[in-house]
Amino acid sequence: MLAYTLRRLLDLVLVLFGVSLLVFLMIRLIPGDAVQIMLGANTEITPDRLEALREKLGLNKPLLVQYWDWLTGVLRGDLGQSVWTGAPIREEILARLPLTLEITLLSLVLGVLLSIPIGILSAYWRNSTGEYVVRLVAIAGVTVPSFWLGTLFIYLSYKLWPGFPAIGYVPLAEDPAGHFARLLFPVLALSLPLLAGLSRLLRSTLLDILSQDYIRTARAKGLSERIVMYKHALRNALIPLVTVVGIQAGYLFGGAIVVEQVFALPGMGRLIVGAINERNYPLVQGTILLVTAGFVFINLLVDLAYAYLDPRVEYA
Amino acid sequence: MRRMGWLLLAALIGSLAWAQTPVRGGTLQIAVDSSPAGLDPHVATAFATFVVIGNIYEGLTEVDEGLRVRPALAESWKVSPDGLTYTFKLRSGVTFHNGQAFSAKDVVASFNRVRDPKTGSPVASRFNLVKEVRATGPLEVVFELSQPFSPFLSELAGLSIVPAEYVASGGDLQRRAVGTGPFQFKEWVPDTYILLERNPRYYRQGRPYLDALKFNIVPDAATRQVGISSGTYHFLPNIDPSLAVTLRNAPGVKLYQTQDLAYSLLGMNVTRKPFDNPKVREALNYAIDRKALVQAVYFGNGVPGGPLSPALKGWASPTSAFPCYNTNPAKARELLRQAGYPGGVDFTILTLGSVKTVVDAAQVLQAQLAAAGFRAKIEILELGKFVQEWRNSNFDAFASLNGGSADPDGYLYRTFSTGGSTNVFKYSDARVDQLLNQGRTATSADVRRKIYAELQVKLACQGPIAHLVYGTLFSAARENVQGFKPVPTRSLLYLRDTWLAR
Repeated sequence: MLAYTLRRLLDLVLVLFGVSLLVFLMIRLIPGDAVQIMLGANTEITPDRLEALREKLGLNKPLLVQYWDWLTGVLRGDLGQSVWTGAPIREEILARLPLTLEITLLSLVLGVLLSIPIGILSAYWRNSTGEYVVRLVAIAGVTVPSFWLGTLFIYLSYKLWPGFPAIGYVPLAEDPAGHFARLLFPVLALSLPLLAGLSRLLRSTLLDILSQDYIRTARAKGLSERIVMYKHALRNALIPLVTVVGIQAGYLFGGAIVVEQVFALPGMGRLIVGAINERNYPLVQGTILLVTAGFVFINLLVDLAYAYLDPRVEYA
Repeated sequence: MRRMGWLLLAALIGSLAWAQTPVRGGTLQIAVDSSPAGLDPHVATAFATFVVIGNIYEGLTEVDEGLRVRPALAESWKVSPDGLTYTFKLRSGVTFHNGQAFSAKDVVASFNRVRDPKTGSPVASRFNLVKEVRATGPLEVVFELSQPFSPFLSELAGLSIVPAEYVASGGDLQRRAVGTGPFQFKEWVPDTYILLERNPRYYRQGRPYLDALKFNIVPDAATRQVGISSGTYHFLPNIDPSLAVTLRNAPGVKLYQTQDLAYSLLGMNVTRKPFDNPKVREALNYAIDRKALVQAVYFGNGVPGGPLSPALKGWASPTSAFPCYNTNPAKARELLRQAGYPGGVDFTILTLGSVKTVVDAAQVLQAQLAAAGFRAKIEILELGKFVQEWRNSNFDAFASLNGGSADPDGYLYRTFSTGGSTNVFKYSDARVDQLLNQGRTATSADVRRKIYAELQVKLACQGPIAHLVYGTLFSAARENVQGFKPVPTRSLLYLRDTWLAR
């Protein structure tokens, strides 16, 4: 297990190095001269002014030098400075990351916790009326995008309960109740698709497992239905679930970006979108690198969990 | 009908009840769609920034709701008979938000900062004709021009005065704005809000009425709409026509409207076939039904217009002055035939995907133009690519939205003069150049009016731009917001006179 973990950690470093190079190059491949775009469609900028700005941002240096400067900075923990405000990027990220992590984690926990009982129950009561209703909601949950759900929630809350603080953001330290009230709808909007997807997956995996020979054997031995379910079926059904949860966690992060936009929450998503719109190169590089690192790291955790749940994995 | 009468009466009584004397206090909750990229008034290019810093900074002059130039930090001014020397007497007893006293050296320092290439200021080129600025007393400043420049006073409204000492001592204007305006910078929580507080030392007695302005940054239009309907926000400045239509009947919400200075346009590259031929450009104008564009794209909230916004009263010629504004596809076909294109022409219209009105306009135009033999293909681009192609004049035609100005010179000079900074059409016409130069250097308003009347007719039908629509500029507010007046320049100048009725 230790050797496996170390090998995977080494992979992670290589992947991140590759990502840093890609992020750096890709943002420079986006059509349009960054400096021109920063200044918008305002051509009252003479070429020497453009040049002055380019120099100020270090964009006149050779690409390789720019990359080297950035990479060595990152390794020292210095992600550079925001082009427009001059604020250290590390600070900007640290100010935004907790909220996005909070939304993502709450959605993940809610989605997973609810999907297990729903998945089990719909496997038990398959093809009953109740299960059809659950299935319908699940299909809706998978197909309807979070941003639309978000808008719907805001609108409904305004119609049904006009005093409910659905929009805006309050820091936890300032007003805990207000803080969580404002996170309710974003978390619901994010976790619903996850919940729907996971419970469907769990249902079909369980149905599949429940028809296996070893379950029949277990039942034939006279084990109670509870033990059959929890000890034999569920543990095996959780393996694909863990994989999907891992992948979904990454997507949740992406979904959080959209939901932050709808609910006007100041998380990483807004930071990234703003940075791209302003062509704030160092900020885009820093945030994307961090998000990718998070994604890769979660994948690592999933693989380790996988190895733990199914010991055959690490020898593969 | 009777019901309508009662409603009107009720509305009238309601508005009388609101229209009391101004009350002090309260925070105006404003929702805006995007975050400023920084607060420095000399490098900002985005509306998102101006909306906020317009309340913090002031210029020597300001442009009011009727686009008249008014004194702001300058109390009065004298112009020499040759139009080359402007002497400004500055207001006394003004202090910056950090407590420093305002004086002539701040004006000189602000001007020099804008003109310094290191600053990279987009407003610098507006002051190309200024030769020298000097302080001739603690409260007197003289600007020497190299040529008379009539729009000078209105352009000065865009030159924010920053405190010289603060900047010299390394003050960071991008993150901490310090001006003389009615509100002072308090706090900026990125992507959440910007809070401005009442300036207690503001020189206009009793103003502002509000304790604070809170600019909440809410990117989603649907969220802003629900926010103002539910009373979470009091004020949505400069909103899209489509949002205005949705809010029109929302209870508790009222709409302010004025004529926008910005306009939609179809720009043509006069170095490329077929638009190198003035007849083709004229034909294209005949093929456009501008009234239909107003309906389809602006939901009726706008007017067809030529080179100048109808908001520039006394300057803008009526559309009846432009023969090619009478939609006539048959005439358009005939002109195309005369230009040597009996079988019609093919070309591509570039548009910017992020501006909905522009994409809509391009699609309506496509259908209208087809009836006259113009076969247009639409290519929707992302901002970066669009700006690039636009700057490099790499297009047949593009649909876009252009900002305006309080003076005709701002609309026409940089766009149509040979080598002008936004003349991406590569348009060059000796007579137009001559008129443009006369227009900005003439000191008599009557002479200028004649010049701009001739220019408008010449540019409307054969110029490189088919001017389309000047939209209505809307802002939405809760009913208890009082005292605000919309300004065509989109400035929120009158937030200093705004109060919240209880």
